[in-house]
Amino acid sequence: MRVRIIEDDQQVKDGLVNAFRREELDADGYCNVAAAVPEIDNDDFIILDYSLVSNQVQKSINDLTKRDDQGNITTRLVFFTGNTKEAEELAGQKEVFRIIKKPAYTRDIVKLVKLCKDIADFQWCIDVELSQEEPEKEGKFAIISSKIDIPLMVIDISYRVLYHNDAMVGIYREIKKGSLCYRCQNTNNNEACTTCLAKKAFERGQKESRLELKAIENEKSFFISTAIPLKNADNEVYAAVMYFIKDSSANMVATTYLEKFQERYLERIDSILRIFIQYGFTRARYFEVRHLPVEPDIEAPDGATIADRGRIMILRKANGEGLLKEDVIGKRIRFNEAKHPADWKIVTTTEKHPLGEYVDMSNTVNWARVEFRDCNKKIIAIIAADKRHGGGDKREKIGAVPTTGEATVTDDDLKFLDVYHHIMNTTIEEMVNTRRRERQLKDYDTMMKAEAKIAGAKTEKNALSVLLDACKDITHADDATLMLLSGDGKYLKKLSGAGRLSELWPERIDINKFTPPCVKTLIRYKDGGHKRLIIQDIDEYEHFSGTTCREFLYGTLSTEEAEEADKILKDRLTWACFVILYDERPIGTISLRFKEKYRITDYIVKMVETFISKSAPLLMVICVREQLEEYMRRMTHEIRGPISTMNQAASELTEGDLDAEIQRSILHKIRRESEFAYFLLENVRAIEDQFKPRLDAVLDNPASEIDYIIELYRDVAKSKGISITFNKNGFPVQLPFDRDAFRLVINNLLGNAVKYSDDDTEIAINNGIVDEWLSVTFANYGVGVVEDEKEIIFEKYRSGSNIKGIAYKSSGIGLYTAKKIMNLFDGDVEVLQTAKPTVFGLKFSMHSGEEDVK
Amino acid sequence: MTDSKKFRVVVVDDEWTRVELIVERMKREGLEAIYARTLAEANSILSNNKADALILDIIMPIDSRIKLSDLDWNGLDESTSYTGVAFHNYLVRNRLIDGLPRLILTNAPKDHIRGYFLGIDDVRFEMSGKNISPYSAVRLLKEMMSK
Repeated sequence: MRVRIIEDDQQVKDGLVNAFRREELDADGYCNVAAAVPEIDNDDFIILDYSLVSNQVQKSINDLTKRDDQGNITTRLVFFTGNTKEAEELAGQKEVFRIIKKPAYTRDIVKLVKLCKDIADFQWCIDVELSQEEPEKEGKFAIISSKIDIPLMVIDISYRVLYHNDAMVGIYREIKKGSLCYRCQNTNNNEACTTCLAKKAFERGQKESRLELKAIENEKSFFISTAIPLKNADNEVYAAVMYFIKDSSANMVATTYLEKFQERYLERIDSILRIFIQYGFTRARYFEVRHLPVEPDIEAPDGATIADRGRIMILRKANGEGLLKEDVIGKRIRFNEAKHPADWKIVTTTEKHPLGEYVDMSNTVNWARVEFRDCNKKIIAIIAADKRHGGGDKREKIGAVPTTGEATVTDDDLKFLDVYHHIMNTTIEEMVNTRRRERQLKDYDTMMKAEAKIAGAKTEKNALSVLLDACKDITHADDATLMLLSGDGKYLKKLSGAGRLSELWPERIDINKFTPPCVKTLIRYKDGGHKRLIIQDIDEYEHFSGTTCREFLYGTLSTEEAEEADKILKDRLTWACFVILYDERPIGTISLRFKEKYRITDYIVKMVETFISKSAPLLMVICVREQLEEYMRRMTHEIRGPISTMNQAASELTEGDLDAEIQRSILHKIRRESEFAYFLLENVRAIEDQFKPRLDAVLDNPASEIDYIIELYRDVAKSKGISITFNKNGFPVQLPFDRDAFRLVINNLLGNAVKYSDDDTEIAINNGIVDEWLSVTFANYGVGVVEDEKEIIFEKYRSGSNIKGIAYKSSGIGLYTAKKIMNLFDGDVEVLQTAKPTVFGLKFSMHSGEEDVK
Repeated sequence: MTDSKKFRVVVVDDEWTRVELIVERMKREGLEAIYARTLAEANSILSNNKADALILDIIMPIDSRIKLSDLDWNGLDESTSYTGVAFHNYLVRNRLIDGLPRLILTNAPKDHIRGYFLGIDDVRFEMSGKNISPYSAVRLLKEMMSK
């Protein structure tokens, strides 16, 4: 076998040729059809793009096709095309071996060629065996057989895998050392399957194992299965080649066997469907197309051509615990009687699996489809299985009739399932895992790219937008909306996204007044640790509330809103809401919507939540970066204030028309503003750890320092009608404290008190000594402190959530600096009372090293 | 034109120390300065036609006594700190400062902010940095009054 690649792009051609040569396959490249034709030989594999023959399709196909003496086609012609019409044109040509949809992976093409080569080699060996010629070597089987993928066999329900004359050949079975297979172990029957039967025979030293296999197929024929052992260098049997020979003598009793088979038919299909359930599918259905032959395209129920086809549908679905629940068994119906579009969905899933099955992974591992074809590659049956997340399926099934009781699957004499069970197991496992891995790789790639974008995002808003887009890509959601929780936790703001559902909610949602389900989820997370709300079906059970989703919506929203949501969910069907966390703090929600029901699977939940949690540290970095920029803006604003006033004052002094008293007043203002500017800079230095007070210093007459700070604020306080009183009684004459640090702490606390006091109120500064600790309290009547934020307000860049509207944004450093300095001197600052009056307390240590202060 | 001695100027700024020198200068020059620390106070004075001129800081605390929806944001995001701009536009829209000289104080880039104001073509509209000398501020006001 030689691979001929016809490709006009030199680079592509060389790439394909090299790919085959790397796999030790003979391959040559040609620039056009004319150059390739003289070189074509029997058994050749010819790969080319449709565009190279588009002018003269039929002639080119004829030129490229070789036939043997009996007129059988011996070449394998493989076309690439991305055009449906071209594919249809080629599909009608018996000379065309395969049509591959563009774009295609080189590895898949190589795999296809290798598989064909293996089959050809295998068939040749079987030919040798069946023609009773001397096999080349026993080892030859081992080498060839080990290359063949078992799932190959599943392409034909009638066991017609490989043919030689009238004999069917074709199952390679691995024989594991030691224990019996799973099925034989469970049934406690050592000879339940052909594999274990063969194994026993080989262990007894038999050269081959032979048994009757009464398989049913169209000709009502019966076969004898023969197993030939394959041995390794140590003469141990590790596998067997099984082949089947038609047993014409059995035809005499065919009817008896057929009836017997049909009696147990449902049980057998049931067993196959159960395999899907084992792999996590919640529902599996078997459709059989009768009155063969049928066209592969059974998609459109176009009446006349398919009216005579019948099918049988058997449905099993799992209950909530993942166990098989038998509730309906189908009956035969005609295609044109099908009413529900979901039942046609199984034939519109068209992602091709390299091994010949069809699997739909349009969203996740939701749907799997396995086609069974006869020897002419016509579809004779389909198994469609799907995964559904939670909830029941209340839709009426076409052709479904209720039944009771659990079918017991046993197999006695027909051995039908012995072959199938293992093959199906392997196929389904590979199918599911391969697709899952491929999808995971793609999704992780999307996540990594998004993480890089998030890391480079300049603002938190941009980063969250990237997060939203990536979630949409990963989940294939139809709509997505991101709602961001405000810093004070009071409202959600719609950051981005669109869709009918989001149109329900305003740009800003007050979470205390308006509670759409995403807000409800957020509140519930804060209260009880729920991270998501998923509505797959409006009639589905809702996990938080113990009601259906519909009841939940009506209980959560106003009637008008709930009716609108109900209407939209009826159309849109699936909705999921995830809470975004920063450092365990909910900061917003991501809502995803799908146009179909049950699009949210465990996989989607896992991927979205993994991505959100993986992005959290990056988002935090961006958040901090943004906070720093905001901090710089605020500090600039704050520092401009005193400088502007000093500038104004200096201008006034230069006017020269002022009397001495006014000049003194202006100088006082300059002094005051310079002190404010100085305190601001000291606070910035403290943040940067550049503020280094003397820890062994002793401050004389600290009360006078407080007086000094009060004097600085006198004018500001007066403008608001605030009086400041300071009770100096009992105030110590000395404190183990640095003077500059003391002034800074007092300034920060008194400054806040003035800033956040209501007009015409009083600020009272008191002191007391308890257990050798000096307590200085600042009481004021104003905005107060939120009870839950008593600790948070001392954190860097954090402010109380209730100060908006009182002053321009707080820089969030005053209280942080005060606490930091107090802690340096073994003291502390804390909120003693949150409101009416709000009381901040400073706690000074009266000890300084070895000596007590006075 | 009324005698300048009878002129009442509303000075709106949440920080008294930033405008006290201007207020004192106005008093010395015979103007009557009315200090308003909040937008609500300023709104009350202007609504009652008690002012002849306005000096306004554009960064003012959000005032719970004024409905945000009543303000005219004129393209500004509601989360902006330039609440004074919205307040000014609200006054213009409601014809509360028709013909009044307006001096807007800001440290923000004036070209950036200017476009958000309504009525900037009015000869009685001026913007200045907050470090304007009190003397210049009063002179500017008087010039606008005379137009």
